[in-house]
Amino acid sequence: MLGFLRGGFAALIGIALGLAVTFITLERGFGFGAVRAGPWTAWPRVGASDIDPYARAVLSRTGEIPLAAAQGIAFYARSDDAGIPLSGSCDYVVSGAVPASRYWTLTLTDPNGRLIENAAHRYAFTSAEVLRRGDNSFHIAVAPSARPGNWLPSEAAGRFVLVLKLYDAVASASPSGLAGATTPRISRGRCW
Amino acid sequence: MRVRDRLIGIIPFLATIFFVAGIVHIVSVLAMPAVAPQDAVTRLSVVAPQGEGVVLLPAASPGREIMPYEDPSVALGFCRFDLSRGLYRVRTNIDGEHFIALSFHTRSGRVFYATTDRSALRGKIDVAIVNAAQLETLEANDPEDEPAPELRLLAPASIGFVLVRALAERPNELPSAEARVTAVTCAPDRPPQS
Repeated sequence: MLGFLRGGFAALIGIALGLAVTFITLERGFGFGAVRAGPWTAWPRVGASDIDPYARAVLSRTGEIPLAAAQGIAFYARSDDAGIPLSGSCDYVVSGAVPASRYWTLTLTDPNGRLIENAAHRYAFTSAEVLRRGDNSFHIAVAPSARPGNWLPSEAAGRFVLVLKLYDAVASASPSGLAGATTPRISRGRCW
Repeated sequence: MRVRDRLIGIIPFLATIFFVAGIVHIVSVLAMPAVAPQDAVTRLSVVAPQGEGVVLLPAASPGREIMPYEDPSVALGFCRFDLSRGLYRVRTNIDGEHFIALSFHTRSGRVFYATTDRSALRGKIDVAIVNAAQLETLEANDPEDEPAPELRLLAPASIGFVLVRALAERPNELPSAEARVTAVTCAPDRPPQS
């Protein structure tokens, strides 16, 4: 009788532990196959037909439909170059070059992938509209209040995510070509 | 000695916990696509519960997104296919300048084929989604010595959807990107009877 109770108790703990591990792994994102480049992370296999069960489980929970590998790739940044989480209490500058692609877009969302309302109705920049300097490099200011030039509004005091989507990216079909790709820098400026 | 006995006695207890936890974890991950209430197909179905042909999704704006991490610079549309009602044709003309991309998904959202206007032939994308029997019928009716007029895509499941993405390079070009999405024709089609 005691053994039976102990077995049942162990099974209950096991069920709770198993569900907890599932919850934690799915909350952490797409799991395996991540490619990191500076502060950016991409999951190239999420848009391929050999998607792994973890990534499939995450997608079915969030409802996201990722870019297919033949179309492009998305990079996500939740922290700056120094590894500090992106916050609406700070100014940032996104600058530099983007991996070879036909178009790119830079979108600012909240941590759940939702756009953030702002008075300027500016949620993203595309490679075609961004103002560039003489040497073709770009400089996007991310801040809660207006900045001259390319300004992507963040929400004061809120956490946010920057999403860089490359369309018809040269390297999207081969994850090895993405590792160490030249991605834009995210440098933090003033905080208050 | 008693401590050692107690430690040995606890091993089956811990083994049971880890064994059950492992099974529960694997089963719950694998079952997630089947039980998740908010998957992409459910969200798309809310936009357009019925209907054939391409359905344009509302432009992404705060509070009106259908899916997370939508690109506000991209016009999105989708077509649902059900091969039990005949093969499914997806066609669109390409202007050679503007980005348009089609991805073909099973009901669970897995991509089984994707293309962009870059890889279009002769200025158009012309795809027939088929199952094995429909492919055989098509091939039996092919004229000799001529390449197939369309790309034939063997679907891994009979129900799925096609997602259309058209990029608006500037915010004021979104209406024309939406027009390029709605210009895609999707329709079931019965193979010619022989």
